[in-house]
Amino acid sequence: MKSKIVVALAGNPNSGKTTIFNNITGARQHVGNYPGVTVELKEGNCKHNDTEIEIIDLPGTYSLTAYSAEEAIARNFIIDSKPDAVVNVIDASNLERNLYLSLQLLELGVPLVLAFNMSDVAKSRGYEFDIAKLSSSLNAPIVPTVGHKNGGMKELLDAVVTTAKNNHPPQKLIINYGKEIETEISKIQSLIDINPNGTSKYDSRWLAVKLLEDDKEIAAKISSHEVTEQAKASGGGIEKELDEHPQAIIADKRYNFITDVCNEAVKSNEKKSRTLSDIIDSFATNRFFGLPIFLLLMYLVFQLTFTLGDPFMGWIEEFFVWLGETITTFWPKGSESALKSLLVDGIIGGVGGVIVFLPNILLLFLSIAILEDSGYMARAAFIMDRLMHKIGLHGKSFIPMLIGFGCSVPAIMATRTLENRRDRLATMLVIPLMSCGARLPIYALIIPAFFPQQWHAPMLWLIYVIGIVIAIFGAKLLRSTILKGDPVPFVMELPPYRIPTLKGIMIHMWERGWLYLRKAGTIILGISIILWAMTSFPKKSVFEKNYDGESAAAEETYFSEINELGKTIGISAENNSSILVDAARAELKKDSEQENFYEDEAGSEKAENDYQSTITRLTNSESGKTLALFLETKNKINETNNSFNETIEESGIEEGSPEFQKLEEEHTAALNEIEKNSPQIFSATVQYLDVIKTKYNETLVSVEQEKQSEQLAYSITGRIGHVIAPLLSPMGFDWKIGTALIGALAAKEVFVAQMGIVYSVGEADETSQDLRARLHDSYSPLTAFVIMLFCLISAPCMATIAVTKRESNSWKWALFQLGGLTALAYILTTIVYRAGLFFNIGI
Amino acid sequence: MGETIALVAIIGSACFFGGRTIYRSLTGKSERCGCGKECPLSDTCSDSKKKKD
Repeated sequence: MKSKIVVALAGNPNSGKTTIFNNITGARQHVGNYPGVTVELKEGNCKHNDTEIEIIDLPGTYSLTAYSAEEAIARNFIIDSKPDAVVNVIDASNLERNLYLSLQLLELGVPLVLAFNMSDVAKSRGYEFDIAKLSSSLNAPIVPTVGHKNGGMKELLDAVVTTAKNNHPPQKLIINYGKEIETEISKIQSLIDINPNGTSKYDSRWLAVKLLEDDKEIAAKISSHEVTEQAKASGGGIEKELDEHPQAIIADKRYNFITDVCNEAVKSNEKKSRTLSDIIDSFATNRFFGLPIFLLLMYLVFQLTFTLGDPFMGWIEEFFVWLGETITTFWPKGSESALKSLLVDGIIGGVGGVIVFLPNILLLFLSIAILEDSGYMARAAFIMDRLMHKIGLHGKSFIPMLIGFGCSVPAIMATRTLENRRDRLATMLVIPLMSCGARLPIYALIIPAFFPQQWHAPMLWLIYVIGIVIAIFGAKLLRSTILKGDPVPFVMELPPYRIPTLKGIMIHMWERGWLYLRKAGTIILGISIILWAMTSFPKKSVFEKNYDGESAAAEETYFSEINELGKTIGISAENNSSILVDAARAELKKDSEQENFYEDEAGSEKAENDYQSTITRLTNSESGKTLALFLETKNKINETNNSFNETIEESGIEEGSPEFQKLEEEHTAALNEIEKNSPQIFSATVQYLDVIKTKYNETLVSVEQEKQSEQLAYSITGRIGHVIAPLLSPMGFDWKIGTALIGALAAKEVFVAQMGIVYSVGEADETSQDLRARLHDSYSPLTAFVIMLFCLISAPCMATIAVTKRESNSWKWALFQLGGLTALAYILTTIVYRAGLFFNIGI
Repeated sequence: MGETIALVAIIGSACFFGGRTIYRSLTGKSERCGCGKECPLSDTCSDSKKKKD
């Protein structure tokens, strides 16, 4: 008695194999309410009573005559690996169609268990099965199951173990295909029996039937020329005699057999009235409304992604700001420690910048999971199928394209469902144009930075639609040029609508979110560190300009202007030696010394005390009263301004609103009150704060900015960026965007990380202005749009290139995809940018 | 000195693992794509690993 058995799960697409697989093994493979989710073998294990069971989830197939790559995988596994039992998962609500595969499995003589899945749906549709009679007619045990409710799993495993451990090989089902075909089967069969070269593992009758069915893969296995010739002659003879292709006659006979079995054992009180699915479909797949509904749903998904995601993003952003500030306190203020910069600018700026978009990712995949599980995605493919057929493309191509909204890699794998190699290649090549989840952070960074709130969802929607449109026309172009050929007809199966389970959606969303976090913690972290090092080194020791000299000159001008100001309030002196200048010097000294100490250390306190004693000395001198009044007025104005700004920031009151106007009036009144005490001093103080001090600070920032820019240009990233800059200028990109685009080749999210790093490392002041604000200050909305366009169309990530190579079995196609998409992105982006400049849009 | 050692170690590790990931993904030695368990290339699921066809 075997203690370990191998069991294969086979069945039509969307019959619920993966749901049963997950139920039995406890795995969490992706399931979707549309055909073609599984395209490769998946393996899981479970233990039932004392038996170890290895379960293989096969891709869905309608028959054992392989038309597409994934159907061949399923068939080859059953024939070559000879599992101990095959569970044929049947959609009981579509029994006759599903039994077609069962019949072929029975003809093959595999130990079979039939799982009548979705038996609850079948019952609600009015089907009643005489299980005993059906089981006896088909000579296989039948177990009713309800996959999504985990119903019937124990009974199914009982039947599987019994069947697998049955020592008697199952009896093969022999269908009588009619006198003419049976005669030809006998002729081919006898020749195979004489020349079994390499085909001994197959049953000779089964091989003969497959040859008559014109199965190319089986024909290729036959080495005997005699057998091949006989099969051709037999097929031709049958076609001539019966005026129909043998394949059609064989299928017809099988369906006759199924009908006979069902007539005996299935009672149908099927309500012919329209089901809820039919009613929804009358709108969702309507010739006129179908496409607008699809586009509207996409719009709602993006609206949800932005609006609901915003507050959560804010919290994550605040967390990283806090983390950055906390880490900064480990070093003295103003420290130029490289390790601090790596942690704050490189890791928090890079990885943190990517993690901030986690809520958007979760919401996008929540929406996609709802659309998939409800069955709407199959409708979307159906709607696009009509459109794609009109331009001569295979409608089935749109299913892998829809998967591409998540990730291009499984989407390219999903092209295995396409029978025609040309269709498959064309689809594979354009799949990266479907905006994958990794690109979402780029859009989520850029759109709110450049476009008003009401434009957020429409802009995101527009980018996705542009991707779909270019993908469709790109595929059309490929199919009418280098991949020319006739399209293959395609019949789309629409599954019934189902209410998605909360558990299923949450699992799907969490898996996506977890993988995003893991990617951020591994690939993005690694690349961020490398990019930080490339952006920070080598350090420049000798600068082109004397920046320290420029800062000193700015300081001299500052004191000179303060001295001039002093004359207007009667505390002037020659050679910048007035008490006002002395007070300003003391303030700068205090600020400078405090930067060299930990915020809470004694040094900081000492600097403050020194400053206060200087001020006390100065205010006790001649003209000291005027100085005291000036400093008091300055403090009052600062306090009033800070209070006004804090209130606006904390309450989130919008500029121009009635509340804002009220606050502004109160603010002006408070300033007027200060002015009343001494109009002359007030005027001088305002002049100092708004003009002299501001100008001085701006000059210092500008000098520092210039120094940082020179340092950045000297770094490895800067050098690479400046080499490629001329190439990027037609698209309106600078070298910073260029280096981010190179980094994005590894993973698209790196674009966000690299922008975060470049703008953090190159940050001239200590203000924590966020990346969006910095981008807004550096680029125009037109540039922002073309960045998104370029990221959408250009070279996909490395994993996609690698899987294209694997699936097309050629580096040629992978490199064509890489080069072709990048060239297309370059051309389109340049055209859009130049057109925008010409028409003065978004500049 | 300590900071410099830490810095070199961090950057060195990132370069090694980054280069390894790129090499493995381009040569097909790594089948991870980081895109999700539903991805047939992903062998990250402990209870269901891909079987070569």
